[in-house]
Amino acid sequence: MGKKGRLDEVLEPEQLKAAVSLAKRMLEELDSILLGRPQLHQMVLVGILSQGHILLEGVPGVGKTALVKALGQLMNLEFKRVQFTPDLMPGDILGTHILQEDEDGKRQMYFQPGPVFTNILLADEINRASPKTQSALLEAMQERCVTLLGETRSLPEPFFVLASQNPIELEGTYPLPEAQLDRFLFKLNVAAANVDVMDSIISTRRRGEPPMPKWSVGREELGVLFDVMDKIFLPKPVSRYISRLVGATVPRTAEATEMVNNYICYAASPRAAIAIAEAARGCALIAGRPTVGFEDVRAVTTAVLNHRIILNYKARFDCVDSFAVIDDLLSALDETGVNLPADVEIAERMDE
Amino acid sequence: MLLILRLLLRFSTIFAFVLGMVVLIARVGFVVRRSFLLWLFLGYLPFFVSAVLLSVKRIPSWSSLNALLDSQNNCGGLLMASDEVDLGFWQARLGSLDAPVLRWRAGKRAAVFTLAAMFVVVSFIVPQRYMKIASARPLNIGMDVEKLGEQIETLKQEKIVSEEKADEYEQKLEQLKDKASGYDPVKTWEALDHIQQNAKNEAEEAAMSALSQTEAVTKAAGLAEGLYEGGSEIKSNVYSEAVSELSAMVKGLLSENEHLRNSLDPNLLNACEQGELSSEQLKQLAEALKANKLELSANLRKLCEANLADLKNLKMCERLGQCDVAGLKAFLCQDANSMCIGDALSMCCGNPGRGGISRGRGDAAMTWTEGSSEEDAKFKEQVLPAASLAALKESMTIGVTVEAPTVEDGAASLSGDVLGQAEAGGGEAFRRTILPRHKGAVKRYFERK
Repeated sequence: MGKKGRLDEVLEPEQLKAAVSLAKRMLEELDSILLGRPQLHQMVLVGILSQGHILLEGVPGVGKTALVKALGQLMNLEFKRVQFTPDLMPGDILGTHILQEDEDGKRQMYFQPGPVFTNILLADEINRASPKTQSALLEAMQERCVTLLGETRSLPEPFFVLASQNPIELEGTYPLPEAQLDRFLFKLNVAAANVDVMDSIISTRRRGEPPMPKWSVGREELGVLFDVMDKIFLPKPVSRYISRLVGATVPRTAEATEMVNNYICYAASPRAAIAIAEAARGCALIAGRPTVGFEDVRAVTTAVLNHRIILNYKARFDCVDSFAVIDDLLSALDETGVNLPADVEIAERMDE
Repeated sequence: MLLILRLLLRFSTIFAFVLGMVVLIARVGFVVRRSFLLWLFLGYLPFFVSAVLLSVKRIPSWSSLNALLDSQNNCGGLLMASDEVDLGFWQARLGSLDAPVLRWRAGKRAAVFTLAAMFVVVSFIVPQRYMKIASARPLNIGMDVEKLGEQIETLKQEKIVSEEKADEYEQKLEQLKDKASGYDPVKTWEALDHIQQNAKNEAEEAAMSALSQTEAVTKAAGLAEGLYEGGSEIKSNVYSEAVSELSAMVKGLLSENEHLRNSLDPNLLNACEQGELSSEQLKQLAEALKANKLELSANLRKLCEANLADLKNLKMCERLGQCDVAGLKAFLCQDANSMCIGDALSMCCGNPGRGGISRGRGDAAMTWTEGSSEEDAKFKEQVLPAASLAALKESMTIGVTVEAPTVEDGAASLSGDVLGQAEAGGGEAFRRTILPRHKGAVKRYFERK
């Protein structure tokens, strides 16, 4: 797991086929457990394939926790849940040293690992914990290790943090600092289900409880998926497009749009470019392609950038959110770099 | 190719507007010929080269074009990857690729270019006469030209100038009227002054001739009338001397006076030439000469009315036309041997007056007053300017006027400018010419106290 593929070769079709069938099956299982959210499931799977952490935001009761639990069950990995509260301490997550007497009667400090020592950590209502506790996760999320009393302990692989937060009832909450937000690969909005989906849920499921998955992915299979991910080829024009996209979020640069200049206070970091590239690979894998295309980049850009660009007060006054700025950027930037003049356009094909 | 065409159209539009403006300015301001302006089209060459070079510079890179092709054919990055790695099995997935079709919305640019091209065409085809509207501020010389035209017509009618020369003057006037420009009025005024001066010179010459002829005709008419009235009372020797004098005078007149020659009877002409005039012929001759005198006077009057001759010439003509016929008859009858007939004619006809350096006719006898003493006289030496000296050396007497010289107030300057007064030998110097029109103003300025 984690073995990097060569960057100068394209995947063999058989390798890709096996990985794609695994990914598709995971998606099918997720879709069958949680109804009516195929796109969200795809993005979550992309996040998993990219080995990134995901922040789910939505009002209570839309299925955030259910989605994460289903994912944990589906992946057949160790899964732990922490309910974040204002009195939660870092030690409650990372673990702590306790004094124990051994068989010889000798007293020693033993490390008692916290819930972070797992494969999938569900950080429920992460914005309810204090900044001190939130920050305890910083090293774990980025370095995938924990340092306590000068001793660094690695976290098990793979390690994912799937956090959820509630955008309402903000009293008594602590919004995540930008540094921590940047650690999340995606911030996905979980919207309320529509009428048909709700009808299906209450008519087919007792108390709305989702069924258990009929199939689960083992650690080895996940390793295969991650190996294939490493071999998804990223062409230079696409990597250039990703760089230009992220670079264009910096106000008053060559390709910055008017909205960027007006509303962005702090631009996305290079970590965002890395995240887009990784996530685009995941998209390409699910689509069954050995190479990343522009469409993969466009598919993940909003999820990657929406929590990474900080808007100014003018944007608040004008009721402009980060999604509008990203949409504007995507539509304004020519992905191919040809930069055709304004009066020259590409004619649509007759057969389309 | 599309990029080159696009940039070419833009550059062509700019060139067309610039060319149109240059052509208009050249035609309006400098009256340049259209055939010469066609060379300006060579200026398109730099525009063309610049457009091509810029277009080539702006052509997208191969990888960008490959990306465009990939994107248009939904290759999902396979085509782009084929540039960097061997696709192997995946190569077959690419299949046939459709090149994107570019559409150029050139309507607006084409319209602007058409406008620019039309501007160029119009700037070339507009007739030159319409260009005059802005070519110069109009200079109204119509009145002057009309007045000068009338003067030339008078000269032509009086046969003072030949028809060819009169036509030449009229053509010049027409040209001046056409080309008169408010931007350079001095040139026009100078040309008008030149023509007017020429006309006045011709008229002046004719007036002088008329005056001298009037005097001669008056004398001849007076002598003829005196001889006719004296008749037998005049001694034969005086009579024959007078007749021969009259014949000589008439011969002289006939050579100059065409009118007189045409008005005299051939028999009378023969008699005049032979110096044998009968009493009746004397009467006819006297009448013919008087008629000729009146005609000369009328001609001079016309010149005065046309402002070509001075009124004092007319007065002089009237004075010269007076003759004391009775006195002359008395002289002839009394046979005053002490005087010749010429002196008698001078006494009875004409009015030479008293001569002096600043008054009297040219042929009037000088009247000397008491001579001034040269003692204690101081003379200031003055070196004449080179031009004045040369003018004096090259001067020649062309005639003697029958009127008094015009004396201007103050000492007439030998040259019209300050530099002219400078010591000779100073090398080249800029000589400022005071135009005839301005002389009066300058003179009045210095006269003002």
